[in-house]
Amino acid sequence: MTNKQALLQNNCFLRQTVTLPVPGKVAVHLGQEVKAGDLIAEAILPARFQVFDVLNHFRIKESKLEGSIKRLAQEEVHRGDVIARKPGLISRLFRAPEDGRVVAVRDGRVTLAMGEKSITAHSPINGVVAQLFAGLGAEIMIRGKSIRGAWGNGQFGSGTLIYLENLDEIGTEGFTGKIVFLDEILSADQIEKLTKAKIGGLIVPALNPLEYSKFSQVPFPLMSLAGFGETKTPLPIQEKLAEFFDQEIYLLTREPLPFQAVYPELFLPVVDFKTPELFAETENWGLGSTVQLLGMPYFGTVGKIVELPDEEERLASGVSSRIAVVERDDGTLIRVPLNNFEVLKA
Amino acid sequence: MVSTYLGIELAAQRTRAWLFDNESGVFQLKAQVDEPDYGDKREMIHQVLRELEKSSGQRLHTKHGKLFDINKDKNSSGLKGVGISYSMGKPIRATIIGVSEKFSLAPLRRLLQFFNVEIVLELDLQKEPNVSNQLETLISTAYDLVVLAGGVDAGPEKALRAVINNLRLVAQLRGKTNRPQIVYAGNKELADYAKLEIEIEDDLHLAGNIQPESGREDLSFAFNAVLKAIQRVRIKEFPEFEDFSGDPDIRFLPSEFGRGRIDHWLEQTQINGKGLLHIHLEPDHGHILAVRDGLRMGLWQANDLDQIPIEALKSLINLPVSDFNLTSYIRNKQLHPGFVPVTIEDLNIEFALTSYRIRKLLEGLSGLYDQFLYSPEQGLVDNYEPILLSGSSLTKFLPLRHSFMAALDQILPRGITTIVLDEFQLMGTLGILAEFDNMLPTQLVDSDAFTSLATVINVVSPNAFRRIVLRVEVDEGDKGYRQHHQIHQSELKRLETMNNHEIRVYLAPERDTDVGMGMPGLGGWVNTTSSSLGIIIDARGRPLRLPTDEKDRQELWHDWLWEMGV
Repeated sequence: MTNKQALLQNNCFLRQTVTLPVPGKVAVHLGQEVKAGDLIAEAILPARFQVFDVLNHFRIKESKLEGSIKRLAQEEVHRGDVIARKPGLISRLFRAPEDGRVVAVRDGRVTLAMGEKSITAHSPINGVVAQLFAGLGAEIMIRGKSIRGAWGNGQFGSGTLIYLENLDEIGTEGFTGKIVFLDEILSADQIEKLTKAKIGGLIVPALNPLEYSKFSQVPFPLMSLAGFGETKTPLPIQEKLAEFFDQEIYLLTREPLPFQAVYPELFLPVVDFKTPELFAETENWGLGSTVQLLGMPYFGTVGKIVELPDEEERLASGVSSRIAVVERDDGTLIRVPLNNFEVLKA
Repeated sequence: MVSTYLGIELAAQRTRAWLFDNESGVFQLKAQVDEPDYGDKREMIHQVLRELEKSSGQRLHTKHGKLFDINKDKNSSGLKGVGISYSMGKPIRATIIGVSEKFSLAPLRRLLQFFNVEIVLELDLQKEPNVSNQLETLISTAYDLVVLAGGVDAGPEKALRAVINNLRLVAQLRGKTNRPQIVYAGNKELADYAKLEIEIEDDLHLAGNIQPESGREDLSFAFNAVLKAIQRVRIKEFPEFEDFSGDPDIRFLPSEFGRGRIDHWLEQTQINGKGLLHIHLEPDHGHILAVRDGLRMGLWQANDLDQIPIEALKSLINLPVSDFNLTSYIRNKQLHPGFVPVTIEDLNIEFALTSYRIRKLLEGLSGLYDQFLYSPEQGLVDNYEPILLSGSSLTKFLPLRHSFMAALDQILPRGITTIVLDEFQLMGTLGILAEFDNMLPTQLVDSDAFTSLATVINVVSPNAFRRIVLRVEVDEGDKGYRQHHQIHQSELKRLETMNNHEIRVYLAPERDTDVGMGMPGLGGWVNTTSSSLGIIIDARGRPLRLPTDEKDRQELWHDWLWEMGV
């Protein structure tokens, strides 16, 4: 079986795309090592444009146009420079309002670009430039261990991961910049306390769906491991998290785009991992794989695949689907559609 | 000589493939594959081809394992052409620029929203005559496609010339690799000027004027140019498919275009004087197409579950569900779009979601086109037959009867119509493969590749609740045996029919009762074929009179579903 990537990865790449919203210049090259905060790409755009319609403003004939425009395209101009002049007894002038450049002279119109505004894109992680996107930016890559989440609020954090047994433990000191794992279902009223403690990020097993709008506004990076509902963190994820505690980690709480395979992720960089190949080997899942169940009534719980029938089965809902037989931790066997679980470990 | 054609659809998280040949004398569906995928699409094409090769025995890879083993010899058997349709990819960000709201921007919305396109910027040159401001807006917004229209042929040019100058600057500033595709569909006199001025070679697409004369709009003049622009954007997004775009034996086109082409052809060939309606629902998007008197109307809608009001969904659920469970399902469905409903509660929520999405598509289309008459209360005001349903949200996430009911209750069709399910999602690929051999779609449409769900007879009557509105006689041609039924006001009745029979139904409506035979009170014989659900007589009226009490409403829904055999 293929087509599902395990949520828990041991030796994998974190691939972070860093791009500008508008095209500019890429400041790195392929294979270059970059540190968090390094400039990846920069676009320098004119801050303002001014289009001056010479024909219309001066009310001159087209035949007089050539003599009226005093600058050529691509010429630099300074504040006060004459750009166009209406000859005659009462002369009229169009002067450059600021320093800049004539970017176009077309159809009796002069276009000036003035000032500069810079848009930059910086790498949020340490890593190596793995791919360049012409004019836009690059993909930064680093090797390590990963735990994929289900939902994130679209932010980035880095810091030491710590375990918080319950929210009462949290004070206003000692948590600044720390990434916190809290094995509780987060409610919106707890957010204020965590914000005051200035934590660097938060990981929870699940979120209350009725308070969704508040979670998307949280000022720190927030990741839910299983999504929305009621569940505790299952043992295999707890064990993997234990490897991350007290270490410097990256928390990328990307807003999930399942159709583009974009998910939030907790990542522990491991510099001494060695792989003989450029790409980590794909692990196929199947019989014996540990899975996390989606949907009620087993939301977030785990089990092992013990049977994979070839034929579709008709479910209680009347829908037909291919299924897996999963043995849950309590020994019960349930039949689950292939789409209704995530693979934890292949 | 046997001609074989291969269709492939690259959808979000799925890859589908179909193999057709005319070995039996007419084209038939020989094999099909529908596989979920989460990774490399090119590899997925190899995978579905391997599966097709296994089930059909036909070689589709070349001897060297490459795509595709096309036989160029017209006089010998083999694979003759490949049609690749795609619905994958983010919506293309588009800017529309027009001289006026009514005559340029509104038509451009209709033109672009047919496709997987998100309009991120609209520039109305009348409302924003300041050329400097126009330029700043055009430079500071991110988009991949610009469509410019406006002005009748030989009409005023000044505003258009200025914006063309600005587009030249935009293209220069962005550079060759990042400049947008630009489609010019305005005043024809300026087309050459635009070409010379903007100077971006194949990234500029000249179309006919979508408003050649005052008051006359024809979007078809710009359809091909937009299609080419979309294709170039997609090739940039998925460079691994670049080799497909120049190959004469391969067509690489958006799925919605394929569906539009086949639906248009179907409407043109039928003689019932009705329009054709097609609703296609996938987990990531929906697409509605209506063709009426040759006018093709379409709308693509991304499935944004964030925007669905919970109260609207609750009104469509026929079972008590807590707000917590309802919102959990919706939020998690957003994270796992392939989630299959297992419990009855899941099924009811999925049914409500599907119903809501169908309604939004219908409302959206009626908002775009004055010619598409629909309201959620009155349903379709015009006659459409057949009504086609397709897409995995209707075929994989709901049982057939639920899909039917979700569609029926939102569309609320008029008169007599047939509802057909495209279970194998063939419509898009047939529209694209039609370019190679138009006998292929013609013969496939006449085959059993499509599932006739039901013939629906809609009864509109002013009669009081539970009064008889219609008497029905069903003749299944079976040794003179005939069924007789009485239909009451507000009733939904299903008449099961036997398989493989031509069925005749005699409708005898009460006075003032309209069954779509031309005028109230007029009845007559209706010929129909057997279908999965049979004949559905919908005498529930327009609008559907639903109890205000939630429990009563849910019970009524339950009764209707029960009548459908759910």
